[in-house]
Amino acid sequence: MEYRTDEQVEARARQIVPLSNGDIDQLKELIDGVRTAADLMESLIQPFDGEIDVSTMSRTVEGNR
Amino acid sequence: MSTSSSLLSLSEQVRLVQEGKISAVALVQTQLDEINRLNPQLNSFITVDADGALEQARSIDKARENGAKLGPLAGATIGVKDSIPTKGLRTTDNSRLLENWIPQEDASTVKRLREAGAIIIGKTNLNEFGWSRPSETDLMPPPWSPWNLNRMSVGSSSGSGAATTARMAAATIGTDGGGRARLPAGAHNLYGIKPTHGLVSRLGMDHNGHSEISPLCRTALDTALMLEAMAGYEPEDDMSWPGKIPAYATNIKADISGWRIGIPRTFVNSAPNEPEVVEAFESFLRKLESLGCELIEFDLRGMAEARSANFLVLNSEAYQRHQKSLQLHWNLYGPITRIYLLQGAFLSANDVLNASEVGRAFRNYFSEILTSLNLKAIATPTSPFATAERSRRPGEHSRGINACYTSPFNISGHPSISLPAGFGDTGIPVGSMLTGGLHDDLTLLQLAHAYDQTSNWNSLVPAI
Repeated sequence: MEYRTDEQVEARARQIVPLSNGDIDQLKELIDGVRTAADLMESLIQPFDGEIDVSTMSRTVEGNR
Repeated sequence: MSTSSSLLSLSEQVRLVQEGKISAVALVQTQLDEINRLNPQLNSFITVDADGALEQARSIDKARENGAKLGPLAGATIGVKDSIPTKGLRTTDNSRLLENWIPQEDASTVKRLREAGAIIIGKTNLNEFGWSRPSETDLMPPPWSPWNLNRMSVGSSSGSGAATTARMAAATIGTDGGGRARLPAGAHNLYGIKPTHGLVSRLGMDHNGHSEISPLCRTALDTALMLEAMAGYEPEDDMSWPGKIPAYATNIKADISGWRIGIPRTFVNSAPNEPEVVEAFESFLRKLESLGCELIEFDLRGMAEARSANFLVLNSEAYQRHQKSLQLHWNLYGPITRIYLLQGAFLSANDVLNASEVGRAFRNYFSEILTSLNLKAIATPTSPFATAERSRRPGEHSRGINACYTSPFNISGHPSISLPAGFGDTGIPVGSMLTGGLHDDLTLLQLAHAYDQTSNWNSLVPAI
């Protein structure tokens, strides 16, 4: 995911809609979760000759193996 | 307390109408009386179509008097989640943005229900656009649970759950993009099936790849009747499944002894399950055993990753749908909803394609697990939490912990049903869930029916 810092998130959001400072704070918290999920997905993608192997993925709700 | 005919299950109501023992008009009037009595305190319905419902009922009564064959849902009063378009009937999505929208067409599911003789009695409440969290600032304030009037109903198909369990409608339909029909089914002592992806067409609604239109009912048989009416191929819908739909209701009785049910014990034990949830789930498993099922503990991988994948795809689709309106009408959206809808704006195409790829891998893996272990289904709780309030704890809500059991099967497309399993300390019901093979929705209904026949959950009525 391209937006790595709070400043980048705020700049992107203000490009789109007229957020208040309170909105921005809420959004930053949510985007932390989005970034974590997107990074997790990227980490699971394999080289061209490989396949995603679910059988080696996590066994718990928190994503632990 | 609710009056006599409204206490009957959908299948019983339909039988009485078909046999001429009660008129559809009388049935509708009873339900309207219940809505008038209860809706002011429950907020289950946003719009009630009294005139339209009575007109549909008169048409059914006339058809019966003329000797016409009535449809399989003749006279059944149905509440439709207010995100599902209904021809000529206001559809607000509980948003000021659509406060006065009157659709010109029914969504295909609604059309199919009407063709089966169902009577659309009104539009049920939801979180704004079925998204984020319930808010007092929504067009219609959030629904309250009929089981505890101090507790909000679990959503987003919250009004649908509340209306069915409070006997304001024979059944309702909701939508389930990450558990938002199964979770309210569990929290309202109901059966709620998220069908296999593509079985029930979303034609006439927005293009949301993993949100399935789902019936919420008081019995397993009612669920089968509803699903049979709702399912079917729609050539104009590229996600619609062209296969033959089984006769779910006719085939619902099955001897389930010897059926193997998988229990992903490590995963279930890793969730922050509240004690009442654990108790209800273990009781549910004992009931399955008493019905002859063989419980097989096994290792299920990838649930957290699949939950994240579904979360990303959902967010991306939601933003795609709302991007222009957010820019044009920012102040018409609720203050919570509009922030949640923005999340997808930060995802790249690659992020979403990665998530879809992980979802596909999980789908194939889960299908292979069912086959290799010869499992008819797997069993889990529906939610780790016994109340809506607990499920919204900061830090857990944004990570989707409340949907840890449900949302992986949205991105995978497998059918999944929540069943009544107990009650929490606050008096709010707790569900357990069965998830099965792609296009084997019938097996889940058969399991649910066998369970329903030997439990008394469907006879319990909220004391309101």
